[in-house]
Amino acid sequence: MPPPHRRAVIAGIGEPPVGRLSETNPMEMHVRAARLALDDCGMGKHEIDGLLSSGTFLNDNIRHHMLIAEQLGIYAKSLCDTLRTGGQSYIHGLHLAKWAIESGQCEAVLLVRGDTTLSGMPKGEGVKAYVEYGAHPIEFEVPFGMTVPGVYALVAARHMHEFGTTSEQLAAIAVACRRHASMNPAAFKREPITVADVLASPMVSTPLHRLDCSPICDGGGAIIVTTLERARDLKARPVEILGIGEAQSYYHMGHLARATGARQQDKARFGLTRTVQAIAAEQAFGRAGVTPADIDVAQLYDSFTITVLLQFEDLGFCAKGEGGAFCENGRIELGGELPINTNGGLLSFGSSGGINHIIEGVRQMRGACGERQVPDAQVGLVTNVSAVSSNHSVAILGRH
Amino acid sequence: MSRPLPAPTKASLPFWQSCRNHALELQLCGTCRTYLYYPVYMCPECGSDELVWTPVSGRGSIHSLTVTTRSSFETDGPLVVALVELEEGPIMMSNIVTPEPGKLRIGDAVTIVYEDVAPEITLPMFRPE
Repeated sequence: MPPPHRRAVIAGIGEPPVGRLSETNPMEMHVRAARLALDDCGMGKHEIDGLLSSGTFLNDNIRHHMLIAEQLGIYAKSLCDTLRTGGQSYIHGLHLAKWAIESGQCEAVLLVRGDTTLSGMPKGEGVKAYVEYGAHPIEFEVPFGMTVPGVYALVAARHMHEFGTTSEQLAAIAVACRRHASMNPAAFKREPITVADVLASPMVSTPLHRLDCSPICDGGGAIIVTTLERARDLKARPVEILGIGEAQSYYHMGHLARATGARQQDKARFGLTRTVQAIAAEQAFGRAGVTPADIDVAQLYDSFTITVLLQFEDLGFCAKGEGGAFCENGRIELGGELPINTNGGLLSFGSSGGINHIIEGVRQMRGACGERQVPDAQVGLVTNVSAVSSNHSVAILGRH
Repeated sequence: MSRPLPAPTKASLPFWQSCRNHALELQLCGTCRTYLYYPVYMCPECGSDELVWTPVSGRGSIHSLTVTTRSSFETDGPLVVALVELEEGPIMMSNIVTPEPGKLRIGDAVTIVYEDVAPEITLPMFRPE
């Protein structure tokens, strides 16, 4: 345990607009997001001695993190890297920032994200671009037509087969996110939708419809992590990081489904519909000293509706196989037992990657969500998920 | 974009050659007797490097499947992407060749068909039994 004054807290957040932002580019978005976070807490950029960025679709390169630091005028860092675990990178970055702060390696770490995958790519090229980026195994999956929606469709189909999960139950997740986005002036997609609307939207890859899939959208964000001692003198209310957990498994779906190479005692524990998020959750809840029943609000990474449904099970909110029923009867909407994605999530707020889930989680702990605020929220959960629901990071945040 | 073709590696060349020969072979670990897919340099189960290329039956069942009309390359009609669990144990991604994709179900028995998609490459695919 670090001495109390050395405890890492989230001191600042910055979130540029999302949408189709034809007039900008990833580097400018990184700069905007960083400046918003610095202004949010009133910290000077000279105090930042750690910088973590993430791989972008556009304008990425081996020195990405150094270029951003140059643009921001942050000369000497003691932690500086580009995190390349996809959407999972942000809570992973938060974890690295926490370790850096609490060990004394850094005094203030900036996590920053910005990408223009919507305006920066020709329409309809998204799926192909992802393939070219190396998102899928080139030799054994791409030749058979694997795509990102296809990956999650295979997981959803298996879940329906094993547990009787329905399209209506998946759709309830999209409906909840859209309802919350309708209360968020900054969201990309705000017009309310119904379960029937989701099922009527074109099928992308069975069983996932278009409205089961998050839209491609430009966006970004920045977070500043520093010591509690420093944060106390800053403008914004600090948010506690009660516990973080991480777990990563596989990439090739056959290996994931078979739990190839897993320890004997884990072979039955993991598979396509049983993810290693359970390990990350054990770590996060254990370190925070709370249980799922203590969570007031959750920002769950929502690349697809199935991505979320699995998490109700693997995080421990319900038993394996009961994720579908968990989504019903407004349980996951504001006013329900476990409101999720109060900004609208990837599914309706937009952006890409997992930094905006953290930002909304911080806002909930600050009491700053206005109409979307969960009354008296004390403990919040945030998750990031990437690859084939096989890269996980889980954070539990607390009101200071 | 047309279907991207695999580029065989040192580990996988015998696999792709077995596909061209229309006689699928996989590595069998001599130590723990596990059949391995995809081709590797050491057994991911027990760590042994005693791996022997061995013919397999080509029969399996559907572990999961998805039907799409919008893949990363153009197709004539819907594409069925499936995870096929081979009799011998491994699960491999492939396509199911069938005139009626809507009738496929998880658990259905399938058997291998060899699609000579290019002079140098044959892809293993499956059809319902």
